[in-house]
Amino acid sequence: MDPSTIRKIMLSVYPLRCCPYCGARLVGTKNGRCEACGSEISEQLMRDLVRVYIERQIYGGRVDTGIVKETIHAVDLGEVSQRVYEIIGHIERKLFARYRDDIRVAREKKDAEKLREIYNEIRRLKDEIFKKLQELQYLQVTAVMSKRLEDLDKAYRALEKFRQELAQYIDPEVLGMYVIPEFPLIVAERLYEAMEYEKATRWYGLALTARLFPGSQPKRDLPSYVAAGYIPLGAIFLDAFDMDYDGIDEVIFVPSREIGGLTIPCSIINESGVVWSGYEKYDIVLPKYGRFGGFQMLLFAWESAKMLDAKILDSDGREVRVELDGDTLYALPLYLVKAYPMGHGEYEILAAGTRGRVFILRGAENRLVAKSFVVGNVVDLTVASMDRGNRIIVLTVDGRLVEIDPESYDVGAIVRDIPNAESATISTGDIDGDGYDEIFVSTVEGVIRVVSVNGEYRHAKIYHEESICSVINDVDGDGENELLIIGIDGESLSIHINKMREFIGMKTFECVRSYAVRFNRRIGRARITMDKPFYSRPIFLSVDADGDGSKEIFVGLDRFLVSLDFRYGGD
Amino acid sequence: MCYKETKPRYEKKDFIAPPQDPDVVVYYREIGKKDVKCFKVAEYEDAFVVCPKGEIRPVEAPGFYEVVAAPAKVIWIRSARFIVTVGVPMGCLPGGFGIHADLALYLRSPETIIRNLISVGKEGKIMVSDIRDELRRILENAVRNLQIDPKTERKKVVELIHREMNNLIVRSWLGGFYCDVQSVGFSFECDLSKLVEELAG
Repeated sequence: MDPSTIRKIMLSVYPLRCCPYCGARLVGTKNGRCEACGSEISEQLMRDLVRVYIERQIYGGRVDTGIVKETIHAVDLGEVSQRVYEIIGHIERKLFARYRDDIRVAREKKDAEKLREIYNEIRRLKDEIFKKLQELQYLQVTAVMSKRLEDLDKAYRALEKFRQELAQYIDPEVLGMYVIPEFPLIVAERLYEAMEYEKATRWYGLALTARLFPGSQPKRDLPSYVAAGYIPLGAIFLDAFDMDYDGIDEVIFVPSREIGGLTIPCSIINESGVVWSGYEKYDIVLPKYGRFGGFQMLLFAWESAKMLDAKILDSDGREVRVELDGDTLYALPLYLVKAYPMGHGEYEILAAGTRGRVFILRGAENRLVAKSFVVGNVVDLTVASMDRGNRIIVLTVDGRLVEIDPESYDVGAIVRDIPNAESATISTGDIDGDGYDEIFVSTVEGVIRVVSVNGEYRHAKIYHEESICSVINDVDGDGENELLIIGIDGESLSIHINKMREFIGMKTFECVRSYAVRFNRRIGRARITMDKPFYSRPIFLSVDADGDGSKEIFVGLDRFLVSLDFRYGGD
Repeated sequence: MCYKETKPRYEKKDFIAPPQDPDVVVYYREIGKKDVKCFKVAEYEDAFVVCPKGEIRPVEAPGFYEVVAAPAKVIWIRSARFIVTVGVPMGCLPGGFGIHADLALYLRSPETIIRNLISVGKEGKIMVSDIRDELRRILENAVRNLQIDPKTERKKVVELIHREMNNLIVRSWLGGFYCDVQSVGFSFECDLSKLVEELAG
């Protein structure tokens, strides 16, 4: 049992306590105070109470709780109580939403008895949810520790029952906080072995969600460790957007198509791997949110993974017209689609198609206006903010790094002969603090850094081992970006945090800490091939997927997706 | 009607909504001629719009709306947060016991709340802690006024506190609410107080 498991147990045990000073069921505490009477409750007292509670009343007898005593002191109690407070607020909101109309009717009729009945029901459901969550967790801990099939079966059925009966009152990410990640992972592995890929992906998604939640906030120091989750499917698209307005971006994952019969068009992997029902009629879908002229969202939909022709739909499901060189089209042959804000409040779509064509799609009132260029088959593309304005940066399969001016459409070469470009990734960000982005190309032979100096590009190799991707993040919360280089070696990934430091009057990189994450299988880098463009491709995404203020990294490998979550302090 | 339903927006700067902070229970915002006109009502929020002529219109359903006659004032109320437990710790009350009450606050007169709020400026909010503090003060006064004896039949205690709290609430700034006391408990009923004694021993 590690600190993160103890933390999850504390989340479920915490609301079941009562305040020794006023007797209120402590459904929440804030800043170390009872939410009901405001009495100060010392951390040590609460730690002891929770420990005794776990040992005597919940886990005593069947599960070894000696480890609880050892690890409970490493858990940040203030953070746990804050989480509980947020969870209770979240559940209350969901319950209220469920009874909203009944409350409105009773209020209009001034029916106090009915209102009392509804509010009592809300209170009862809230208590029941917490009790069930606690029971559910107990079954999972027992199953993971005993590894007996009967215990696994019992926990599986209980979780499915909970999902059916009470999941409407609790979002997947909140449920994820109470799930012990090892449990859904065991279930997912068995489903995968049984070739139940859709179900397996859902359970892998739940394991990933359970690994991410509750999050871990940066404490102005480097992370203490990296928690990893995985799904044994490659990725063709990874994207994120806060679609349900809860303040946390949803991570959209479109799995690669090496496995025959896989029919997941796209799944939300930080929300237990849910697949939206409206998308099921397509083989592959990729939603893009933002302001695209008259459109608030665009949906790229492929009816068959065997064909590249993508329809573009608006939020009402209507096909969107595309104007290209005087022609009107209703589908474009695309395999890579990204959206970027281009500095004037509007988003633009950058896409790669067949025969080395790159498209820029701009939103108009009721259509998209496209411009296309032939630059070569594309591996990756992104946008960089340069001293001359925004530039579209494209990496081609034949190893050329190219820039496109989005206003004049001028195309220019930046670097040539990048080795093994079909498995490389590009990232952009400002790490030297000059206000402009640098470009990082991660390849089999290392990481190449490209900077623009007075309008001229210069490049140098800054890392000499194999690298999957480079990410520019403020990982320690000190207000300055760090460069994170993700390396790969056999069964493990390595994460190297590099800071930019002064050295004899120059700025240079220094690796300040490295972490390793080992998997129980061989992993390899993905490569894009034009004859099978929907197979695993080199791809990554850096996004705060759990709302903790620190960005997680999702890396697409060969038939394998990894999530890397930085953990801080006692978390 | 000074507002109408509109299509969803996904960019945060394209619509107005209350802060995500779970502590905010009432949020008020004036939408002027130069402001973004679209506002969002979540499924767990009640909202009211005060139109330019002063009439107050409740928003019937969650969704996205657009103000068509500015300036309008929008008030969001997160009624879900009005199912609360407040307590008075032992030590604050004579008799050596602490007390807590499970309450539900009903919006009796939204107009009262709204009129109080919109006089404060372009933007305003009430935090859940403000409401709790006031309810705690009212509960303490109610228990003191009634000289509650924990041995009294529980149903009677609930009834007495319910009546007294509603007498007191109308004289407080929570006057727009009706308070329904659903249950009452005492500190000595908490099992953990025994554990506290045990740990101390």
